[in-house]
Amino acid sequence: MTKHKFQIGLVIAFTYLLVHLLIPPVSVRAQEVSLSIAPPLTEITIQPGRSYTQIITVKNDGIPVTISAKIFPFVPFDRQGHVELIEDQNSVNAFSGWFFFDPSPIPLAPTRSHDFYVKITPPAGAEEKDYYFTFIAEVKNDNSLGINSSQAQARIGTNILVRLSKDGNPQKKASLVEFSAPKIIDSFSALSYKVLIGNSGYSFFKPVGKITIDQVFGSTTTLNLTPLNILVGGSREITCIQGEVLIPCKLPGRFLIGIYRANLSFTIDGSGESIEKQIYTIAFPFSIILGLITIFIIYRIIKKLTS
Amino acid sequence: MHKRRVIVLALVAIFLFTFAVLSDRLTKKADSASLTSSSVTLANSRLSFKAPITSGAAGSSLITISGAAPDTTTRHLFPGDAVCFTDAGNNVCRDNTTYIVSSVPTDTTFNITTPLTTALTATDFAVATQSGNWSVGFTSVAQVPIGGSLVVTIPMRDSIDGSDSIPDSGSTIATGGFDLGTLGPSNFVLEGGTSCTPANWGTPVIATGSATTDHTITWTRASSICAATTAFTLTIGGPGVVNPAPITGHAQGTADSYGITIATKDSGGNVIDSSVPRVDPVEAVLISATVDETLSFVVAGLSSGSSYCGHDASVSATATSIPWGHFSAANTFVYAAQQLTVNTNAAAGYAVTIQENDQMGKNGNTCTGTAPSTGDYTFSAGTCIRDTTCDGTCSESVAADWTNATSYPGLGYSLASQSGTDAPFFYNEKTRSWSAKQLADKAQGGETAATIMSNSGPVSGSSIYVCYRITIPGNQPAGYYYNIAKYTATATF
Repeated sequence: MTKHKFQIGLVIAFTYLLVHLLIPPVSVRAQEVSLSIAPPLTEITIQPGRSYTQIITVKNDGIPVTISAKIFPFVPFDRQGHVELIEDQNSVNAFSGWFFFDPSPIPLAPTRSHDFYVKITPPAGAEEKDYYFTFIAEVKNDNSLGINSSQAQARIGTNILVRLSKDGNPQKKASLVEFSAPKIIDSFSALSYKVLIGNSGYSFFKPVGKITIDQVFGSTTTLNLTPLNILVGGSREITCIQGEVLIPCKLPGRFLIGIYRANLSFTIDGSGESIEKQIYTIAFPFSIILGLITIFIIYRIIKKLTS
Repeated sequence: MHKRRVIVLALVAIFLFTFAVLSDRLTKKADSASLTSSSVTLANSRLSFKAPITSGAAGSSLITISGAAPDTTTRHLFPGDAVCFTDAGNNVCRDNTTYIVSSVPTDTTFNITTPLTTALTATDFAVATQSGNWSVGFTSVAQVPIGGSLVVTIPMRDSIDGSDSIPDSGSTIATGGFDLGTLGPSNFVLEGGTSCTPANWGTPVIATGSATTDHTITWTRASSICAATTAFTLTIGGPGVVNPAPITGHAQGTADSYGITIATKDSGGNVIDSSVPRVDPVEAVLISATVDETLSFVVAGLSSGSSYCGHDASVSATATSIPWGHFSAANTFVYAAQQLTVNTNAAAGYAVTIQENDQMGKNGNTCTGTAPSTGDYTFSAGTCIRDTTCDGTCSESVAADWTNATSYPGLGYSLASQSGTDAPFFYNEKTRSWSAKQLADKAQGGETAATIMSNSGPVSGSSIYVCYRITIPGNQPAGYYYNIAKYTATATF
């Protein structure tokens, strides 16, 4: 009888394990915070006292989170278009009347998104100039870990460039801070150009232009400048663009020889007077000459030693 | 007399019988059969678009069609299509100008990229011609004798100019057909097997159809018999054959099926083999999608035991915390790591910065300033685990090697690329043992958030490891220490 019970127990245990083996596993979501935000950049020209509403969508593709929204002013951090948020409360409070949106924490389940309706209303008396902000959606963390810890808080932001103008035509002024390339290069070296454009006007703009490189007695190559935003009072290093791919402003080719004349020309937002500058580069096969001289010297030494 | 009539009738009957038998026996009959493996493949099977105009003013970019046949709506006209406007006689493109469709806002209107040179009239047609090369294949059953021929018949719209390069349309399939445009003999290339030398066919003769006669292209066998069971390939190249517009009453999405007749004939014009493969031009389908600009940012915790930034993680991090727990030993490095991943199609790229709300304060007390006022952990009135100075020279903006866990306690971090090259510094850079930085103490120390990932263009799955390291001195007061590290991902302006 005891043996019989043991056999029944064995069968039940085997069946239980088999059923668990055959049941398809429930998909497991990676334990990660994953947020996306759209659009990543908003550019607005608006009159003081008028309103504009921008919808900013935040989507959660990770674990369930609660997010809250904030808006901070920012200043350009470097010449690559990165921002430095001004998070002190005084600066935030200075623009609190400009923006209306729901700041209450929003729980977001996995794969769900939330649209923030951000109404922007610059006061009627606000100075006509540019104002730069970043809308931040940040994950609310649980602060009750109770052990030594460094909590990690994810924040994702979208930049809002506000051009405040009554007539919609603020003064824009560009300055060519730097357009340079090596004066002399070896024929096997790459010929790269550095373009740094500054904004000395009253409103942000995008440079629209190109670098035309003529080899004297040779071919012509055109490199198109990437139309990147340059904010007031700052400057930006401009890359080049081919189709929709950003590329370094570099002359393609494996062997360069002769004099290369590069002419940079651009306009502000594609209109108005063109700003131009020319520079020259001489490409010479120094490495080949050096190699030949080395071979010649070795030859002479060997000849001297053998004679 | 009666007998004589019988004899005459009998002779006539014998004659007729003999004539019938002999004529049947002696006459060489053509054995007509079906060509095998016959097919016609159109490189472009899209129907041409042709719609009567209602209006289109000079200088305007908006065109309105009438809704009458052949094309009763603009659903078969897509942005990017080349379109021209013919007069009622379908003679030429007005002003010899071709326009490009920029948008199709409604079923009866479309826009072009450049304004009209001259005004359109109600007798004009908007025409978007679709043409393409043909590949015709078939295998003969019987041989083609010298003097015999190969004839390909292509249906043509009845009673119209079938070679003016303007797409044609009939009221039915039987009356509709293709336009040969400017095709010449050199555009018809006929190839056969080794037993049917192509060079022995004569130059193709193109007979453009007229009235109810269809187009024919005829090759005559000039020399040497073309062997039976020859696999032929006919390529119609050059500008290609102009596809018809829809027939009257055409249901969109349903092909208008036309038969192409292929036949081999003997020298007397009798059909030897033939077949009628069909071609089915139909409307194209516009597949479109809108991709929004977006920035996505993922923070993932990494488990202990695996190596990141050259060291095994001592504790498992989650996406939201690095739970250091109880420090089991002083003057000993403890490691943890998280993974950051960014995707963006923003043209100007993105940046991720890191900052802390404060240094790790005991029970959350404030750690005033960037460095202890006394010793390793006393900050004015607060007690903290400080930010490391590495081996004495690193800050939130400058990395330095950090090898000494005893003399230089504190919290720091380093980076390693997981995918892409978006990290600004690496744990093993400059032949260092562990190149590290402090977290930027923005609130209490007034420091600037540091960039830990960036790219000046769109990225797909750029990913780094952020590796944290902490060590405490032996006399660090007991307590619960914590702070918050903030990752901020923003698009570049």
